[in-house]
Amino acid sequence: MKKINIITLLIGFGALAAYLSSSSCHNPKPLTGSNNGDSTHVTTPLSPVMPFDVTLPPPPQRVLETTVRRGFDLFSWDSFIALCWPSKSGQVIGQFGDNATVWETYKKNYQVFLDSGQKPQPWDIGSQTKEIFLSQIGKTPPEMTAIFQPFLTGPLIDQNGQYCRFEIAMNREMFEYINQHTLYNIEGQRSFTDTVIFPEGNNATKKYGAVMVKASWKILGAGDDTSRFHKVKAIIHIAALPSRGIKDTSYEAWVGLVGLHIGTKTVTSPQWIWSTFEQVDNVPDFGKVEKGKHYNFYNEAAGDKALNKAPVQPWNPGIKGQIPSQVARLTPIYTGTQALNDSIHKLLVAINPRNVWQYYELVGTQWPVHPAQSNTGDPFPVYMANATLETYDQGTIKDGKVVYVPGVTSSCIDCHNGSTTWGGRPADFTYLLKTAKAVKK
Amino acid sequence: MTLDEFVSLSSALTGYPASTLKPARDTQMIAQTLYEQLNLPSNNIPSAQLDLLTLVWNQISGTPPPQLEAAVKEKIIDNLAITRLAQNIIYLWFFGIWYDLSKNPASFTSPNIDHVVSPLAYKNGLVWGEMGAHPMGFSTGVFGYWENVPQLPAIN
Repeated sequence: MKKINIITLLIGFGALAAYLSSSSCHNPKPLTGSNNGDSTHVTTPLSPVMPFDVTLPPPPQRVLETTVRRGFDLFSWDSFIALCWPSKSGQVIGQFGDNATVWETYKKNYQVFLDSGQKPQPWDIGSQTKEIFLSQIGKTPPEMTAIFQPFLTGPLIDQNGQYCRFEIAMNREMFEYINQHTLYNIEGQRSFTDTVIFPEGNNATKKYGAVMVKASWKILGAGDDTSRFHKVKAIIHIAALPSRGIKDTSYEAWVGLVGLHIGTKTVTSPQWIWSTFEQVDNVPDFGKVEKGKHYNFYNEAAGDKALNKAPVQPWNPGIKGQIPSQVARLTPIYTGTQALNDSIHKLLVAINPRNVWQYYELVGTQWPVHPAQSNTGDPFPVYMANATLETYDQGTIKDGKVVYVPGVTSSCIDCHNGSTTWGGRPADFTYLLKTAKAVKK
Repeated sequence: MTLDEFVSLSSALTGYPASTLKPARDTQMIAQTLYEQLNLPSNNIPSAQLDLLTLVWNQISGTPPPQLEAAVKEKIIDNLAITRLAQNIIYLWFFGIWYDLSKNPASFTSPNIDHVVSPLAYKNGLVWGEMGAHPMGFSTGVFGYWENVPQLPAIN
């Protein structure tokens, strides 16, 4: 009863009822965390348990823009909270400000698709990575983008002139499917004659489906308030580019999380549910710059001449006076989603006023509204973009208005529908399989 | 003309169920986008023509389905005062294009008025499904779909 009263004060009864009823896996009891001898106990209704699938109100109450969208947004937040929950047992999310997360224990793409093409290590070996290794400077791995920029994408350069870095990880269900079907190398994919169908999360059977996570990081530096980032010490790798005289080098740096995609395969959304989060200081909405605010990827003084355009390439961080990525969000966060963000932020602040996770917001959730209608299942919203991961594909500005173009403007489902294996077969909405290498003999 | 009247009239003109033209969970708002063309000043639709089409449609919209097609032909298609506007509504749904009402669409002579209503309206034009095809650069098929013979809709 005490829990209800506290939460009612925080987010209102309606929001609470919707939140709790839509969170299929919520722990019925408030969670309490402690830190090995620390006497501070924290109680929160937030849960470390991932949802299996979305939970929606009964059909008569389903309205696409409101109740259904809210159901999917709740699924996204439930997933985010569970994935960013402390990997160390006995703690509550953000209890001590920041924490190492569950998703950072997932297998990274480079741990699954080995350069040698060999079988990866079992799940329990190598997945509990202590340090992160960041090499990618494009949203997709080097084989597909890196500095070569098909579709005019990437690289994303922060206001300190540094490349953003990206990584991709997957959960155990996805990893085991790849492992069991020998999809971790080119030869295995070419001999795989079945259709790739990753496991699906299911509320009825209480089984988890495939989950993949794509993270974007910025190197923390001048102007950054490091208390507002989930941060880790990473090994920054710069791949050799002999034609430009760049040697293969690595160094250590603190990086802050600026974007997080979560893709979840479920039985009701076989085209996957696509949830995307950002750090709140990333970018302003188009035409709504907050005076004097420090943005990670926008400089008020630089103007909008180069807005949402890829910077000079190849970008050399060592050259002074260049204009880094100047980014604005072209589609504002939906008001209902923003209201939910505010509610969850209050719950996070209640755990600890310095909780870093309060500085992350759900930008949106895309799902197939009519999954059986076509291969793409009629995605909604039609377009969705993360300013750090689909920076240059958000749409264009014409006569002061945002113009979206099907097949060009970012849509998770429409784009991932084109993914294939090395065997030339559909890859079930992931481009990861295409990063597999041939077996080295 | 209200949106609901526009959708029910469009259903009679195109032969597609209203629930297809405007699904209960409408992700792309095509019906709304096309409907807005009727009130766009630059489209130069004489208000008397639009009012008459609305009036006629309301008079026959309750006709039982077996007789509805004949009623639409007699009262709208064969009515020279409104047939061109009805024709434009059909073009809207099939091509996502608005043509100059005062011209023959086949002549393509009004570059300042003829226009693609929106990228989504073009992409969702009914003509693509009728042809068993898709607009250039956009397909919802899985990789390799082109190996298979297109499935054409059954024509009665």
